[in-house]
Amino acid sequence: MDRAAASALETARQCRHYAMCKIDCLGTGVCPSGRRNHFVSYYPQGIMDITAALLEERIPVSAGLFHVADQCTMCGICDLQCNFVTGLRPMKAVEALKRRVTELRARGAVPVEAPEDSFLLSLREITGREFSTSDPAHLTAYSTDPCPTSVETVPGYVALPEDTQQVSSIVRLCRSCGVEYVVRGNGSSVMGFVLSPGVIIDTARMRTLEFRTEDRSVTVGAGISSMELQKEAVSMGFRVNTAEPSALYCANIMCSGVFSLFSSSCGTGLDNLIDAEFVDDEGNILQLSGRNGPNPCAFQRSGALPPGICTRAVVKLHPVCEGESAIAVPFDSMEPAILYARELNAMDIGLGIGVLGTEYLCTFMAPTAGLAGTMRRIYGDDLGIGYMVVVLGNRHHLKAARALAPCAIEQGMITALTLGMTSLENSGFASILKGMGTDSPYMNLAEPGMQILVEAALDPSPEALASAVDPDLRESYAALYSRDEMTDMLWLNTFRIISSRMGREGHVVAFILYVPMDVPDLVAEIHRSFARVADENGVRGDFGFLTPLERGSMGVLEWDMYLDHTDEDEVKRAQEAMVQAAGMIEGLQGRDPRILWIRYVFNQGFARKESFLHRGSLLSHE
Amino acid sequence: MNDDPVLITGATGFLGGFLAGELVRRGKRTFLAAGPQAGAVDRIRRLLEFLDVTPKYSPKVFSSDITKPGLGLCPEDARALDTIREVIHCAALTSFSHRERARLEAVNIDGTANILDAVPACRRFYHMSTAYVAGKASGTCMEEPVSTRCFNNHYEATKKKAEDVAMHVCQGRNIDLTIFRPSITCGDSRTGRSTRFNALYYPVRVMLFLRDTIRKDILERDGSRAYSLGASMDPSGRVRLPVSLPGAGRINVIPVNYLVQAVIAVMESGATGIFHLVNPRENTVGELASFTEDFYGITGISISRELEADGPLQALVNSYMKVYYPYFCDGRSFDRKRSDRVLLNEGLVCPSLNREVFKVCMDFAIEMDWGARTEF
Ligand SMILES: Cc1cc2nc3c(=O)[nH]c(=O)nc-3n(C[C@H](O)[C@H](O)[C@H](O)COP(=O)(O)OP(=O)(O)OC[C@H]3O[C@@H](n4cnc5c(N)ncnc54)[C@H](O)[C@@H]3O)c2cc1C
Ligand SMILES: NC(=O)c1ccc[n+]([C@@H]2O[C@H](COP(=O)([O-])OP(=O)(O)OC[C@H]3O[C@@H](n4cnc5c(N)ncnc54)[C@H](OP(=O)(O)O)[C@@H]3O)[C@@H](O)[C@H]2O)c1
Ligand code: SF4
Ligand code: SF4
Repeated sequence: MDRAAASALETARQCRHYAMCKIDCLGTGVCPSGRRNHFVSYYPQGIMDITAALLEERIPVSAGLFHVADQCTMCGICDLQCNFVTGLRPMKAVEALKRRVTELRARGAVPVEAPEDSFLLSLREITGREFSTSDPAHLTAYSTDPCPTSVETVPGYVALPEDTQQVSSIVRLCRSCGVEYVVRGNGSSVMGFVLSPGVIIDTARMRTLEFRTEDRSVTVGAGISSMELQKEAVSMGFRVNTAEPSALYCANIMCSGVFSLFSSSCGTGLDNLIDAEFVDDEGNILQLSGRNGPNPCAFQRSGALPPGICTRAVVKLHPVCEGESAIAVPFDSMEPAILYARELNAMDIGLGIGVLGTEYLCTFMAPTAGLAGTMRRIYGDDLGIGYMVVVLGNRHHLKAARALAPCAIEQGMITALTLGMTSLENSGFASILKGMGTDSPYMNLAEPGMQILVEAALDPSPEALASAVDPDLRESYAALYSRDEMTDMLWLNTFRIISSRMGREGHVVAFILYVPMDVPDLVAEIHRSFARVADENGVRGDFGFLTPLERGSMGVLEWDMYLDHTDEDEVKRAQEAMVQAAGMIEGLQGRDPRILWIRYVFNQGFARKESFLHRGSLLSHE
Repeated sequence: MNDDPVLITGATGFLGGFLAGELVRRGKRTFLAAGPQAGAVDRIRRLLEFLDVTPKYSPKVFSSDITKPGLGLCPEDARALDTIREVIHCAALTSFSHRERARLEAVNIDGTANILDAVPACRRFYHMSTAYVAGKASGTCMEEPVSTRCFNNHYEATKKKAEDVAMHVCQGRNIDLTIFRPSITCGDSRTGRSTRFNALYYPVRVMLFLRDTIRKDILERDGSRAYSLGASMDPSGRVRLPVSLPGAGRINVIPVNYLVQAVIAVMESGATGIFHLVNPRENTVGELASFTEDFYGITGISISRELEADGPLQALVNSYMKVYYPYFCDGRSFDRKRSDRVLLNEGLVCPSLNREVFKVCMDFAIEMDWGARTEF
């Protein structure tokens, strides 16, 4: 393998599968080939998998392979998108694929057509010929994810239904032929959930989106991503409680119930759901609001099968008010940060609240892993910031939040610090604050007017920030960061385009728990327990975030472990850490029934949150 | 000076380093204890080079963690201490941060006890304390054990407890104890040489940082940020910084070369007891501010009685001043009878922190990039 191919392979194997290249995350467009052809194989994500398989000679030369390569326009949209999130350059894989296909053609290779068995014919009858396939190139893009516990599983078929009827027909077909199936959104749950040896039902073509603003509702087809939904909603003066932008909204509802910083004001699970439509495993079409629909109050503690494939969901629209913004409240330790976040939520202050660790904060804000490392050192070690409570809210919320905070960093300062990040170290500003010898040097950032001094010291600008990235991408980054929204905490939390940066320095395995937030010591103990497990197994990990729910009595907490999923040794250690963490969580759940691991919510994300947050009080629990 | 080898703790630190350097220069046999981090031998080698010291006898260097019983030494290093009869204890944590409470106690209090335990044959113990063990006491601080329980920060409290520990253990084991209580120590009055640039240096560093920031904004950009901060630059390049420093009281500073000579003189005299190593000629903040203005192209620094609160430049100054206020605006004086008896007898007079000494010290700090080039 030549050097270019080896480098392409290295890049391709690193694909995180968070699907940020399947959405227009940067307002720079979205892969035209993927949009046209819908299978994930045509998107950069699929091309990464296919290129890796081709270079490792794991797939034959197929018609699908040639078609994927030919359909790519080499537009380069994916390079900026993927680099923005992961630091990778998928164009290396794209170019390697194109090169290899050109070579194959030059050598006279004849691509094989995948055999069209009767099952595939039936699928094609339902979806239309081009929307069902068993071509090995396409199948390979649906066969893995980077989770350490996922087992590579090549499906038999992939089908792309367009509507509820087609979903129902596919389900009936599978049932009658005894073929298993799994429904797939954008596959970004990355937990092996969307792998199957049977049929992958990919909802990418189910792209209906109907707003009823007078009723403050929107009906979302199963193929609509959170990013698309939020963009439309915001353009109409509303907001939806979305989480990861690349998650298809219906998938996200089903999978985790959608939790975000906004959940502190608008809840999770059923709270944001008005109705939903499902196709059950017999192919019947049910509605949540219908007589035979699933019971959102009947949460099953031991986990549950999904009531069916969610084909549409009717979701609440929350109005956006004038003057909404954000503040960041730094703390040196976890307990006071939790107490503050809880207090705000108890008093119903804020549209969104999150306690973020420095790891998250720096990873999210920095455009490169190198800068994130520098920031962690400066924010953590020099300025003494251990945790940051981000408060999103209207004028009144923020006024109250400031009054209750020991100190508050305003949006303008966040913008200056972000755009001036590359000078933070060399300007001497950080070491001046560090050398003060004060307990909390970060307090200086909250001083009125300090933004001007920071600006004078750091001379922040989009160009300065862009100087940290690969030279050929600098112009694009500078253009991106010249948009105010790119440093606007409210916008960034509304669209979440930077949160998947958490996987930039290695694939992230997220542990998500509902926890009683009125016992900060317990939360701190949970954090320490995770840290111990990670440490004992030589796995990098850290606290992610904690968002208060239920007026501060509960919270949703994320703790993350990171690994290079292509390194066998790291995978083994992560597997062991995951087993130990699971045991640790089960133990905690036994101790306090208010602690709940989100894995028990999977497939029941449409459930009423009270049924899982207060499950100890359910009559059926007695 | 006798031929017995002396153990110096905190030999990688400011005072311990300068003392170690001078004793090594004079041909004294030394055991030099660095802190816990790796690379002690290399650190000491670089420090001695920095101090222009060529050892006659190579010092025995080892790392130590004085928070641990036995100092965390390997058996061989621990055995080597069995022969030590004389200790100069300079290892300490000098942080004023509340977050460091536990570590301050571990290093300063437990550390002192651990050192004494680790040197079973110790006969002479020189304990580096601070003039500020006096805490919030007012009036004249005597060269005697302090009784106050009110301190400006936890550092002071732990230094007072460390003195108690040293006195208690030394009395019990019949060890001769000398306690040194220096005031704020700056670099060498002749060369400016120093390895630490905090305390006295820091406000100057902040002023220079602000000067450079303002200058850059005016010269390289449109200056709008500088002007909106109320700062400006005159045609000669002098930067006007509208900040005020609290001017009540005085600040007591001694140069490190004086401290080294004084410590050695007391050691040679065989005297025991408590010694204030302080400057009979104190400075005012106003004096230091005018030195800063005159030497470093700054104008506009005013002196007020208390900390003023107005604007980001002032906020930055205050942030530091809040911590160091008790030392910059000190109303106390320090009795020097015992130290004068020994030191004046030896012809040792503490140099004043005058314009020249101030400049040589600050210029050196700038050359060393405020310590970035003196990390040993
Ligand atoms: C970096 C990162 C951060 C994340 N942060 C959050 C967060 O803050 N909040 C949050 O809520 N989640 C978060 N997630 C989880 C992720 O967004 C959800 O798992 C989401 O469901 C993924 O959407 P998807 O379209 O990729 O679903 P997939 O991965 O394709 O599917 C997820 C699950 O839902 C099932 N499913 C898919 N579509 C349907 C359907 N139409 N009907 C029924 N079942 C279906 C699948 O079979 C699978 O079990 C995060 C994930 C990543 C990678
Ligand atoms: N500097 C002043 O202006 C001043 C004024 C009055 C009194 N004093 C007193 O003088 C003494 C020395 O101060 P300084 O300014 O020289 O301090 P310093 O420069 O900070 O040096 C401290 C020394 O202590 C060592 N040390 C810290 N923790 C240790 C541990 N756990 N185990 C072993 N060694 C440890 C350090 O070793 P490493 O660096 O190798 O970790 C370093 O050598 C202190 O007692 C202080 O209170 C100083
Ligand atoms: S790493 Fe993410 S953005 Fe990059 S190609 Fe893979 S899925 Fe797309
Ligand atoms: S270069 Fe190819 S894979 Fe990348 S976005 Fe353009 S068409 Fe899609």
